[in-house]
Amino acid sequence: MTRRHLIIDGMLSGTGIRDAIAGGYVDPNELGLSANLIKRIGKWLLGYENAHYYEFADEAENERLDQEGIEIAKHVREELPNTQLDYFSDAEMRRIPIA
Amino acid sequence: MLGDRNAMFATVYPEVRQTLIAQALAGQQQPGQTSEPAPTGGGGSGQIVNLSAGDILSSYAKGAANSVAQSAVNLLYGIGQVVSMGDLGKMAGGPPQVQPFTPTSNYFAAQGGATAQGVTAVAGGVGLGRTLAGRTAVRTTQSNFGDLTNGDDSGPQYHDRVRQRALEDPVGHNFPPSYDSEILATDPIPRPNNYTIFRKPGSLNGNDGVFEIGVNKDGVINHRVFRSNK
Repeated sequence: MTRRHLIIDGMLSGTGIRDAIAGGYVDPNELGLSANLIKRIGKWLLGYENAHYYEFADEAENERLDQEGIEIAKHVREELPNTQLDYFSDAEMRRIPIA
Repeated sequence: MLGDRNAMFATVYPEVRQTLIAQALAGQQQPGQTSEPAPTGGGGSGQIVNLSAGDILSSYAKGAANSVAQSAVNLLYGIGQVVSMGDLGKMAGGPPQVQPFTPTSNYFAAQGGATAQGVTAVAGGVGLGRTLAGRTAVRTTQSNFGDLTNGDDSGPQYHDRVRQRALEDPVGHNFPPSYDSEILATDPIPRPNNYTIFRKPGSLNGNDGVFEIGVNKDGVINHRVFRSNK
């Protein structure tokens, strides 16, 4: 069975979690994530959404959002230990490795 | 609470999601979060695509990996154009705007992400190179709207993010550009900083969902996604 591969991604109108294998976005509820983590993802998405509208002009805010996104990815990895996790910066349009 | 979680992400519709998030986060938003940040000129704002046929051909000849990937997207844009014209042809005479947008292209299902990484082409890239600054993306009257291979320079502008997203996640982002005229004909949804979102229900590869396009204050399309209802 193929190991699940998810990407934390703050794209506008996304759910914050992308399926790297099948493509598209995944409902965090379907993954069984904790309520606190889902709420944290929601707040992070709101920030990323606003940054998108302003075309990621605030570099400090972009960095803050990506740091938060990476932390979220680490927490998702903790809650889904059998899942490969990556992070994609919507501001920089590139994957950032998760240490 | 489980009920709250389900309510928050019961659907992928951003209107619902945003409302629920806003409610959940009432009082937690950072001061100034919605204020316009000082422009810095950086931060990955990207550049408008401006490839020439020579650029594409040169990259193709060199066989660089990046060129292969880039050209793959160009090909899919080109394929999408051809296939989508057939799809839209089923709506001969132009459907009323009140009808659901139901392009039925399966081109992407056939191509798949793997193909997107492995095929090269030139034709689509030439068209993308014809985007010019200063033209608004929100045009719905030109008969050739969304035709990225058309040479009369009257099509929409696409931010490089659109192509990058098509590479990164083709399933949700690489639908044919010819769909854009139908999507952009919907009622605009205003957002901060003169950003505008357009949404149109439809289906792609057998999945119902919503086609969504985002246009920045300069009239450039920098967001383009199909969100499945599933």
